[in-house]
Parts: sequence; structure tokens; C-alpha cells
Amino acid sequence: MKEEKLFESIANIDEKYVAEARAITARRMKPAWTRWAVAAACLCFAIGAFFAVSSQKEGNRVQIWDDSYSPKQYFKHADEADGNTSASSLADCEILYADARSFSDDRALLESENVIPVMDTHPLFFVEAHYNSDGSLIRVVLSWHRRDADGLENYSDLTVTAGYEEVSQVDDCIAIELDDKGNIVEPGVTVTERDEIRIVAVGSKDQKKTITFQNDNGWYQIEGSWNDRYEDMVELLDWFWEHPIDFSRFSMDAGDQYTSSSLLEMPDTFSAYLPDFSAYGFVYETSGILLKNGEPVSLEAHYVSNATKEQVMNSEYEVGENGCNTVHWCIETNPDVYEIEDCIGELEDLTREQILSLKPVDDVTTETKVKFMQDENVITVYASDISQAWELIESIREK
Amino acid sequence: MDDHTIVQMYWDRDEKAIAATSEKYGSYCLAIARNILGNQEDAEECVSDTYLSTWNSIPTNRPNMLSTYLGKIVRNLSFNLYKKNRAEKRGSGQMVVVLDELSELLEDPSSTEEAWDCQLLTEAINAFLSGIPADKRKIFVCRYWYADSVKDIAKRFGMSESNVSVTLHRLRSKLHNYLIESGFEL
Repeated sequence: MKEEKLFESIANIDEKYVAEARAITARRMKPAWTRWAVAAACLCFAIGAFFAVSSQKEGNRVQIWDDSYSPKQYFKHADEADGNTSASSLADCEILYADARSFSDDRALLESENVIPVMDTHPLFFVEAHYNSDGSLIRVVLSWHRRDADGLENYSDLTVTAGYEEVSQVDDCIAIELDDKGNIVEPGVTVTERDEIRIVAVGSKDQKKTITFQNDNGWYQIEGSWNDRYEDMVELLDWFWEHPIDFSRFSMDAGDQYTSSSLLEMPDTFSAYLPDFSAYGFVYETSGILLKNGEPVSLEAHYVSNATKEQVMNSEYEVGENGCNTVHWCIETNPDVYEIEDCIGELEDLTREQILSLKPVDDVTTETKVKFMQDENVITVYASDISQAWELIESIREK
Repeated sequence: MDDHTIVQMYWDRDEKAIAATSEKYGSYCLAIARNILGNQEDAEECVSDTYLSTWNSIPTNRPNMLSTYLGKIVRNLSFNLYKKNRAEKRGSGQMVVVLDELSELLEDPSSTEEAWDCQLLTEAINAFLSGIPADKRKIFVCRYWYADSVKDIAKRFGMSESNVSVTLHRLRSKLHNYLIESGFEL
């Protein structure tokens, strides 16, 4: 069969493209599941990470913490990593879980209850908790993020992952091997003993880095991006050292449940914020609605113009060539500070000249992005024909 | 352990090479096999066969990038087992949908592919991939090389599933046009 031949031909593409697709990239601002994942039973296979044994220079011994211990000391041997030692994220590793809840809206409350530190330098905050089928907690992932409008100078992703159930990937992160001289075998790993607890630090200044430990309260991992400083990570370590997490605070019945739907199932959703696409010759293609505790909070919908329903259903259309155009309409009712900053203005203030002067995002989609505020929502429109986009935007102004 | 050291162990016929390979790339190979085959048992069988194939092929080969070398072997072995399972009406995984998507590129899927020069086809696909933005290329490779599910791709890149589906559809259209212009009869 020809499609099988095509699949087999793809096997021999340039290996740099194959490697590129699996390269670690900076974490996105919003973890994908908080926007679109179905919060019902979610099956993920466990992928473990463990340290390889290798030859090691002498001198990497377990260090003993004291009051004068500096953040850099936690990562004392970071520069000795051989390129194959990389930090394993307990937030990102795939652990089998049956259900999930969000506590991202509870930031102020969690700060006031001293469950999490106050971090005014990081505007974005998310909490995801994962559970077994009996509702018992597997892990809670708390993350704080910061971005710049331009450039990456202030980029920050700080994450604390914690739990109290036995998780094999945790053992992999804190297990170390000593040679017969008592030196840590794995290059680039620094181990500190503090209050008789072993703290394992991996990763260096310009890489993703982790600090992992386990005590009577549970296991914890502090993770920082390539741009995060040792100081900021140790500040989090010290905070959670003094303020162990009360895991009961993250019981399943206290969290927000996210589920997904579509306009086919919920056709009247956000009708006040959507144009009458059919009046402008557009046919519905696909959509996704994110519901928080059953209430719609965001929407993405795709439409195609100058194509029949059958053509769209079978994906038998070509953008631009025979007059087909696409529009991708997104509504976010709980926008973050960066999404608001990215807006070009309020709906009522937009002008035709302003919209028509915008340039396409890239040359694959040939779409232009228009982002604006309507009431307190952020509307993002991606359109292959910007003048059609203006007509659609203008039509909701009159609603 | 770095790739160079592991590859040298194969050349030295040191049987610890397989343990080292499994330790470093076992999960990677298993994920590819599982995507294609849809079940753990078949996937583990293919990964074991991958280690044997690697042992038998190094030497004479000396791969620069061991991950992609192993990935290609496990991908091919898994796809062969997928075809066998399909004949026996077994298995699941992503392959049915992935092949269905690839058939959209073809104007006459029922005609034979004898006229295709696979090497030229691969070169054309490489040229196509070199001309698209890296983020789109990664999505394409994740779907059609690694056979990742749309859901996993959406999670990996922080996108919605509908956005991934639409991006893949447009990339297939673009590749279709590119191959036609390159002289392939689809």
C-alpha cells in the first residue's frame, strides 16, 4: 500500500530532524493539560530515568550542610557533568494517574495559609494534582513562571513537585552510587546531607536543574529552567524545608476539574463573542471548549470559507489556491497578564487600518494573528485573509 | 555513558553494550514501539529484537547518533509487526490513524507504488522538511516518524489538540503539493 511505503520512506529522513523533534525545549507557560486535557481517566505509561554508571574524577563526596552553606555549594560539581548527565523532571515524567485537579486559582489563599511562598516576581502560577482511582494523591506540581515581552532575559520556570506515595522515579532521582573511595560515581551530581537527609542536585548554570530530596513528610523536587539561578531554587528548597506541604490541602474534592467539549455538543457556548460565520461563507471545521467544573472557560474553533461541508469534513480543501480561507477563533475568559499585554486594544477601539496593517505569523499557516480584549476576555483570531478577519471582528462589535 | 563509548563496546563485542543501550535508550525505544503497536507486550518484543539487530549490525556500522539509529530499527521492526498483526486482526496503537492521514496525500491510494524510487522520495521529504519552520517540522516528525498521538503532541508543545490536527492537515497538504511539483505520481 502506498501510504505504508510513504511511512517507510519517512523512516530514512535526515536523522537531525528525528533528534530535533525529541530535543528538550523550554516549558510552555501554560501546561497543555490545564487548557485542553480531559480530566477523566488518563492513562500514561511510566518512563523511568536513572543514573548511568561511569568513570569519575576523584573528589566528589557527599557534602555536609551547615548554616553558611551557599546555593552554589548545592551544585558544586555541576560543571563536571559529561553531557550525558541531565536532570530528570518529576513534574514531566509520565506517571500513571487516574484523575487530575487544578488549584491554580487558589494562589492568594495558599499564600495566606502558608502552603506556598509569596513570589511576586512571578506573575503566573499553576498547581496540578494527580490522583489514583481511589482519590489518593500521587503528586502535586506547583509552578511559577515569568516571561518578558521581548527576549528571554527574565525567563523563569520554577517548579516544585511533591508527594508522599512511593514513586519509582523519585528513587531514581535520589539514588547515588559510590565507588570504593566513597566518591559519587555519576559526574555532575552533587549530594548534600542536611539534617541527615540526602539532597541530590543535578544540572548546571545554563541547563535545566533539579534538587531532589525525601524526608518523613514526603518527597520533593525543585526544578529550575536553564535561566533560573541556583539562589532562586535554594530559596524554594529552604522554604519547603521549613514549611512541609500539607498534602490534605490538595484533596481531590477541593480542586477544580477541567473537561473538554466542542461546539457540536454545546452550540450556544460563547455565542455573544462569536460571529455568524456562515453568513460570511464559513463552514465549521473543528472546535474545542475547555470547561472548568462544567462551565466553559475557553474556546478554540476552526472555520473554512469557500468550501463545502463535505470538503471540510474530508479535509479536501487548499488554503488560498481556489479561494479557500481559514479562520481560527480563540476565546479566553481567564487570560493571564501576558495574554492581556499581547492585545492590540479593546474591541470597540480597533480600526480597519490597524487590522489590515498586521503581518502573517509564519509562511506555513499564512495566517495573521489579531489579539484584542472584549469585556474581560481575550479574543485571538488567526486568519489567512486579514480583510475577512476584519469583517468578522467588526460583526461582533455590533452584537 | 556517551554514545561513542557504547558504540565502541559493540565494536569490541563487549556484551555489556546491550545493557548500556537498554539503560540509556530502553524507554525511548519502548515509547516508539508502543506508539506503533499499541500494546506493551509486542512493544517489549520489538525492543528486544532491536537490541539483537543492533548487536548484529554494529560492526560494520558506526552510527554517530545512536538514538536515531536505534529509533529507526525499532520503528521498522514495530511497523513490520504491526503489518503482521493487522493481517491477523490484532493490535491497536496509532498506526491505523497515521496511515489514514498519510493516505490523504495520495491521489490514488489504490494504485501501485512500483514507480516510486524510495530514496528519491526520502530526499524529497527531506527537502520539504528543510523548508518549513522548525516548530512545524517537529510536529510533523513527532506524528509521522515517532507515531506520537495528537494528544501527546499537543501536550509536548503546549498546544490544543485541534490546533495540532489542523497544523498536521496543512502540512500534509503542503507536502502533497511539494511531491507533485517534484514529479511524484501520488
